[in-house]
Amino acid sequence: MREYLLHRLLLLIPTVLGVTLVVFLMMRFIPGDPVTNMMGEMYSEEDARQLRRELGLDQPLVVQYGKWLLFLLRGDWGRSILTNRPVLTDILYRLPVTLELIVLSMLVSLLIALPAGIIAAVRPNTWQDYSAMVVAMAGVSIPEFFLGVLLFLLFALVLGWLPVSGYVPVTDSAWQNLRHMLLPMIALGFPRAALLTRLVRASLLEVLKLEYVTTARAKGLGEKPVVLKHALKNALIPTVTVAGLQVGFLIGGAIVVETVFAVPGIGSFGIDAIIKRDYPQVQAFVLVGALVFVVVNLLVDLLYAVIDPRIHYSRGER
Amino acid sequence: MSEAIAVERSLGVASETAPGQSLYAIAWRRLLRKRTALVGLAVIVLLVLAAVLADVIAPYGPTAIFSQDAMSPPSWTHPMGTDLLGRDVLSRVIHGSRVSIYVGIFSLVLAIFLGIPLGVIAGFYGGALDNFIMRIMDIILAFPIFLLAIVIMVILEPSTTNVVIALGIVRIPIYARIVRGSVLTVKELEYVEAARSLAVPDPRILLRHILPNCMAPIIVTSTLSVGTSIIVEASLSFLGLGTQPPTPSWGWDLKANLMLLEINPWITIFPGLAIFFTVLAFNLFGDGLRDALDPRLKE
Repeated sequence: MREYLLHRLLLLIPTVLGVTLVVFLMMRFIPGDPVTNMMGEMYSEEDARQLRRELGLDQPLVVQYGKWLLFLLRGDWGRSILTNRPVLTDILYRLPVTLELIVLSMLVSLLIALPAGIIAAVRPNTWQDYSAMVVAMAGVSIPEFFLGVLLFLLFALVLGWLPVSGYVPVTDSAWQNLRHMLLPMIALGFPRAALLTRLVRASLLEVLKLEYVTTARAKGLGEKPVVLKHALKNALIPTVTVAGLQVGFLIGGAIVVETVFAVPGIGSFGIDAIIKRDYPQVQAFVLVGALVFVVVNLLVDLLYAVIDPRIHYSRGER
Repeated sequence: MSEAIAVERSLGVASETAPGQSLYAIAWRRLLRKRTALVGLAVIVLLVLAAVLADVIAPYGPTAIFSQDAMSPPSWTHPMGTDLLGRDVLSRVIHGSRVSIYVGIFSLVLAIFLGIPLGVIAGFYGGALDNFIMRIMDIILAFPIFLLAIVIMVILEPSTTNVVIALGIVRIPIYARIVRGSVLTVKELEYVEAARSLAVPDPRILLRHILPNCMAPIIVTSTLSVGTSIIVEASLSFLGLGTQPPTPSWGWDLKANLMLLEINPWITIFPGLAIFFTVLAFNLFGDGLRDALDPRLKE
């Protein structure tokens, strides 16, 4: 187990480096001169010369990459072209909001998927099963932003139950925070729930057919312990893997949902930056987005290894 | 011979080796029995027709302006209402199908045309080349799909074609991996055969065995990914990073009409429904295909 952990942590390094390389190349390939891009309207000949020297733009690409990486590690992620604030500060302020949204959405999707999937599996081909599957099918086919708009229309505009937009930090008021996050987290979590419901149902159906379940039943155990204790644990293995893979979609979806509901997270920050061509901010946005994804994948892999003791260092390709 | 088949059948083994019963014939029959998949297919066909015949079917042009009736709710003259500029939403929705179909299909084509050769090369030659190609695939996969699509759109200026390129690139690793896996499996067999027949393995022989081997997962992945591509294109357009005006696109129209939500929610809802039903159709069909092509399912 410790070997596996070590191996995965070591694998992290080339992956992270690969990510930084892509971001670096992205910044270089943006149409236009990098320095002009980075300075925008604050452009001045002197500052430009200074920046060129710092970035080593006359030197080979590899050297530039190295210098840029060093800047990052030192915590210098550049300054916003528009506000001249250090980009890292903004990122650190906004990241917890997005993380909160993602975690809450994941909770929503699990809270929906687990009961729905279990019920559908233990009562196959009944109305419960069919309705769950129909709703699930609808859920995976609807774009998050459209679901967000519909929820917004119904609950904020028509019924007026929930606030129209904005964000209240948890530290200020947990209740208000929840009220503001409710629609975004459902918009983001429901399509994921749909996918997971189908998966839970399918895995559980498979597991319930296996011999050890028949044995457990023959032992005289009630249906509930059989399903919940024995079958579910194994059915959860592919579910956890997929749930982990879903995080990628959650991060992507969060970008859109934050824009729809004006949630001040990394997603809306990034889109704003792109539209305003504030390239240092764009760079930070992409970097953070990818790194969060990489870290979460690592955590999921480790969780997977904890749940299924058969997984080892030599697991091979996912 | 027929006795052996009867025994196989009684054991519940899918006997795709039965005379005149290819996997595809069985799959096709199974597919025909699944009504939801057929509904999906029907909608897809309708959609493609709408996209191709948009100029003929749509009551007005997508950019035709009716300033008198701007922002009006659904009516007999404008069944889906009109937008801020007075354009007929129904016509724009019909024309919008072109963008969705174009992106959905061509991003797929791009991914397949680049992914399959990469997978073949990586699997066939192995060693450093394999490692190199797979590392690049891993780097692509290290990014969430949507984020990577955004990155590519930042580098290339926003346009429908660039969305196709972005989505194509993002999907390459999936196909490369499927094909590479198939190559690795077949490579073993071929060596055994080669050892026996003393013949040198011919790349063409490999191709004749690899592709049929991985055709099923490729077909299923492709059908299901069209839905995702359509959602991603719509999302990118919604954010302003995809299809640009005045080209009608469901995502962009939804965003443009969003500011009128309190006055006229319908013109926002209809483009959204268009996306929903399109993706639903591809998902239903893809699901049916997956079940039909699954060799583990009994007849």
